[in-house]
Amino acid sequence: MTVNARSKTTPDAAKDAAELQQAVESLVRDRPDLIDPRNLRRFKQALNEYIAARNSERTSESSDKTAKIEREKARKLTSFATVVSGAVSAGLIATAIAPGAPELVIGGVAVLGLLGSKVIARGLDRLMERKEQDSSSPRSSL
Amino acid sequence: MPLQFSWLLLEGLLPLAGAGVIYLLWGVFRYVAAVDKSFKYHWSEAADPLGWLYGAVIIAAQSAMKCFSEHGDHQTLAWMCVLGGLACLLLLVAAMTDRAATAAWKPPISLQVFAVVLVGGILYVGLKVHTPLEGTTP
Repeated sequence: MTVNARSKTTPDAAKDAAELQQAVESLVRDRPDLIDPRNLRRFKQALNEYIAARNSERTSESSDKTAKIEREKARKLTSFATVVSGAVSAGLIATAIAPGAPELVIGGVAVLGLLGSKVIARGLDRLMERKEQDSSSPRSSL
Repeated sequence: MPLQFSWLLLEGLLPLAGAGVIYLLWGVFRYVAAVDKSFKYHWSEAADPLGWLYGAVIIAAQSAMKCFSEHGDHQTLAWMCVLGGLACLLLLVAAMTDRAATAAWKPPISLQVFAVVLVGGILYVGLKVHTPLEGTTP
């Protein structure tokens, strides 16, 4: 047996309908000029514009949040790739300088490169951020 | 000119830094030819870490293939080339993702530094791979 879901009114829908009816009644009571169709049309237009503005505000807020999350993910991936490239660079240089070195030594140098590159990359980026902030902030007058 | 140095110049440095050098030369010519020397030229745009990384991936792949096909003592170098190429690829993809997420993206200084070090390492290993062993004819 199939049940038509639309024909059934849920408690939430009934509550919404009651609230809407209440709002309309109070509006008609407070604004008797809305009985005039021209005034009603103007009111409807203003209401639609207001709702559209509210919706676009909400949408831009949520897209800002999504963009921030995306930026954070990308930044983490870049810092991971930087650290890996530091480790591989250290291994490459160790292999090229000492071709016969045991693999354990090359691996150790790569781990050192990994740790070193993490510290160096963070330090370099902080230094550049500070420099940019210094150059963008207005100088205080003495 | 020894074989390895001609490889370094023509197959290593020229594809990696050629475009940057042309851009710098263009700036120099513009400066020389300009009557009003106060024009603005973005010299730092000649440094293109993404282009270097892409070039280094190809150089690493070519060097690894040469090592593997020779079956000599260069097996460790070959694997290091593979690892270096993969690291370049990872760094390149990460930088592109970062650029896509941020409208006003500029390569961070750490990315530039590590790209230079990694590309330098790959070029050095490539030079070793392309250096003919003593007693062998190229």
